[in-house]
Amino acid sequence: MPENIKDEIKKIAYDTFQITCYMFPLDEWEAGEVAVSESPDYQKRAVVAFDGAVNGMMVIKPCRQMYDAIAANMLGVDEATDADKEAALCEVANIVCGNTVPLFARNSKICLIKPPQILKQNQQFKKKTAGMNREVLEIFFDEGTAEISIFYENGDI
Amino acid sequence: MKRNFLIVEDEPVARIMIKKVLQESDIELGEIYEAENGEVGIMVLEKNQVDVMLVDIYMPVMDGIEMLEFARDHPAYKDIPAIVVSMENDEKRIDAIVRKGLGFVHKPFTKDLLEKEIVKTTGN
Repeated sequence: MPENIKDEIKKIAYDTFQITCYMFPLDEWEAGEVAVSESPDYQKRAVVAFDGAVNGMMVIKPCRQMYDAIAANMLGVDEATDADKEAALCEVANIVCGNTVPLFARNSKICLIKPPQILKQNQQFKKKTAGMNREVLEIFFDEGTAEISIFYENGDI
Repeated sequence: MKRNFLIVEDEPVARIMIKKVLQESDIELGEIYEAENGEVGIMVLEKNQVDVMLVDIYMPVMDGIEMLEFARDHPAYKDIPAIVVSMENDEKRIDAIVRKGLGFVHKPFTKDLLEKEIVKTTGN
């Protein structure tokens, strides 16, 4: 995946988290420290599938601290319920992916996204993404890090 | 002048988010009604005085475009300003929405963006 596309996806993600969850990106020099001290764990992942010009999926996997903060910030509550946390992560993934897929449009074809889901069945997901290209991006905030994986087929993006 | 808003959006979290942005704006708010799809949105219109509608496009049961077409054809609702709140990126579709006289706000949006679009669509 070209560097300019990756940079664009990161920008979309940063803008989305900032506007919807009031989360601000770390400066580059701070990001390096966070990457070492707090990597994304595997608590929750939201997945958004897309098809059309390119078939694939986007997976957003926040660290635990970010996962808790997304819903709390978005909804303006001190403590969000588990259901709210999942829903908030899905909504963020929906917006990030929805704004990303226009980058994949080609030959007058566009991509359409499917409703976001919390990833529960790992085995099925592995089957669906087997053979796909994978690009992994990390984004860094005061609240922690999130990993964005883009799985895609139908050639290069 | 306080205005009553109707938010039509299938995701509860997204409805809360829109409501929160609305409440943070400088728009004078009356009641804020909510509906999870176009069909429920119509029921809300039938029972309440709504001054502005914020409507998502893609919803189950009845989508936003269908609901807005119903409202446009109904004498009691045809003049209620409506703004589509969506992630739609297809320029042709956005153009079609705007040519119908509807406002359009792209997710994610700040309170300033929403405010601007409300003022533009309602004329005040």
